[in-house]
Amino acid sequence: MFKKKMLLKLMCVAAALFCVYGVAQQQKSGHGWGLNFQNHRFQSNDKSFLSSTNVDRLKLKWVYALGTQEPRSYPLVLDDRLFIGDGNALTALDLESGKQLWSFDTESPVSTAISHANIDGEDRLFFSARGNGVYSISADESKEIWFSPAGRKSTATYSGSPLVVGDQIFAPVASSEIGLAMIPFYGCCKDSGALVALDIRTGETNWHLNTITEPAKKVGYGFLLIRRFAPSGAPVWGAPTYDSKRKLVYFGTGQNYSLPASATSDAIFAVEESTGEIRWVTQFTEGDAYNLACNLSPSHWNCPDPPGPDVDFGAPPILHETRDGNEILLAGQKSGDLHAIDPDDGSVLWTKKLGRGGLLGGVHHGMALNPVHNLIYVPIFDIYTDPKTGALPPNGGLHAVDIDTGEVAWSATYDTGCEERNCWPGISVSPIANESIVVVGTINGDLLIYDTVTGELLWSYYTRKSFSTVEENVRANGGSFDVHGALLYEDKLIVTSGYQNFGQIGGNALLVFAIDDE
Amino acid sequence: MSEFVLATHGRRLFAALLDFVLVIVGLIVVLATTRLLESSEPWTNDLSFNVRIFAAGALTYLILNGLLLIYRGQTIGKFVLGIRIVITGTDRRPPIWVLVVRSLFIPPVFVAIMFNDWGGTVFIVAFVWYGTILLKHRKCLHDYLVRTDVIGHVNTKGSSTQPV
Repeated sequence: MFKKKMLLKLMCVAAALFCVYGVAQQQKSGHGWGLNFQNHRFQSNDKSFLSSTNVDRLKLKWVYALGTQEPRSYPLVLDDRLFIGDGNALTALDLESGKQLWSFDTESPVSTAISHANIDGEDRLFFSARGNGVYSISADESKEIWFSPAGRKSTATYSGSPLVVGDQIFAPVASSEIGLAMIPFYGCCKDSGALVALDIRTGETNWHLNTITEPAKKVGYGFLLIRRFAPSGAPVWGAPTYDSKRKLVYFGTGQNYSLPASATSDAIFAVEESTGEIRWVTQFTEGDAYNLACNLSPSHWNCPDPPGPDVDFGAPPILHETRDGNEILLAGQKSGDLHAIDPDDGSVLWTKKLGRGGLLGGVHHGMALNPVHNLIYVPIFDIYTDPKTGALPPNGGLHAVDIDTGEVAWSATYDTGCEERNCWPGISVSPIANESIVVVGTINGDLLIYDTVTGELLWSYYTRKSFSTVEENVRANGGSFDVHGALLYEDKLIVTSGYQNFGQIGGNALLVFAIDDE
Repeated sequence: MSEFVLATHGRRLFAALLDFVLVIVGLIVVLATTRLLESSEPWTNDLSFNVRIFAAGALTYLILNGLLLIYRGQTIGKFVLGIRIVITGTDRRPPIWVLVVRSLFIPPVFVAIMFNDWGGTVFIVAFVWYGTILLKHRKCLHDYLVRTDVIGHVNTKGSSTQPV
């Protein structure tokens, strides 16, 4: 009897130690885009002190002028330093003063969030540069540790943020053939997206999974004798999500670039962490083939006929559980749909239509989840884009959805004063939340903070203006909020204002707000 | 005794413009049939792109003007405008190697400059290269390099002007 009790105690201690190890595994690395493996984009109270009761004291603390009007990097705070991609460089700034500490040059624009891990006693940063691959650099010395083209094909584009899990980095890969298709002499299209697992210490490829395994074959001719190929596309635009219980990595894909389409476009994948073997794939939109040649003309030789709706999964999936303990994978699509998926087998639990969708419609870049209230915050952009826009009325704004029921708890739309392209009121940027506030921004440059439970607008700040910066005689201009969005850290809110891709308003302002104690 | 009348600026200009349009149209057809730009490689590798464009440009030029150059020292544009390339000081067609260097080397260089979007460089280079035609001898830089002229007609002493 005594031995049984002792054994039971030992087993409990072992289980506790295992849990601590699992938590420590997470804590010794910073989780890039999603702030944790599950991509919640949620800061707990020990990491963010902003709340609905003090947000009115939020004041602009300092501004740094980035070197690009199209900043596309998500910052990382490590100790007293702030790291951010700045055009073809990764820059380290002093968190309190904004003074530049060092800058590391890359061959192409830094386009992702930055992850951190402590390897053999050294703090290392991991990120992707859009045109060439994944970097690992020292956080202290601005020194390259390794660079990996991640199995690069010449058309590879690195847009999704890599995810650090233990000794591996999962790097999403998209394809620039979406744009090459505009060239009439180009044989569209052959390449597929991919997820690549790299060794965290060396950058060596552990495994490489193409989203389309079937090789592309000739399917016809375009301009004169220029051939057309398929299947192609299914790029991976967003950060992957890690399931530590099932040892799976989840990620979403975009549309095909040519017809006939594959079964893996506009889909959510679940793959084995250690091998990349596919556990399940669930496709949500069949036959979606689209590329930028269709923007030039639907009759372009390289535009698929018929052209698809271009309803990618650009937002990373979010893993959580319902109030009764059932795990759920939530995926937002550019179609305007929010899907709830069973992570065991990929079956669809429910789908909620939140927006009309389109080329730039629906859920564009990301969502955030509040595990305290079991609400997911879904930004809907729904801007009109010719020729592909959903048939329903636009529903741009931020929508809070109960993940147990799929019902909308609240919706908020900010009146930007106009509905032209450069001040459309829909939300394209990824939100971030803590227990009481959720932060988004508009294309018009309005930075907005809502109450997480009621959707009440608590605070706003207009950023489409000129700012003085930490550097003497250097000014920065604000613009649209898009892509990655804000970071909440302790008493601060850190965000870049400006993004001039797809007709938005450019800007180069890195804004750091803090609670004004006075 | 023969007197070689240099081609007028106007004829050279219009001949060049006609040749330019024809080469562009021909280049499009050549690129679409040879598939030199079909793969992703030239669109992601500058050297590969320039080599392929050069090759396509040269092939187009040869297809359009090869025979006329060999037999008459003319491009299509020069044929239409009644002017031809000769060895300086004579009315003789230059050796084929001279025509090759003169015709194939220079135009693709300009095409490569334009496709590489080197900004105003192409205009500066064009001004330097062709601006010398405004001088007394009406020679472009390539005419100086390979010792050629472009003539309109030949005056033979004691007889009426004979068109070329």
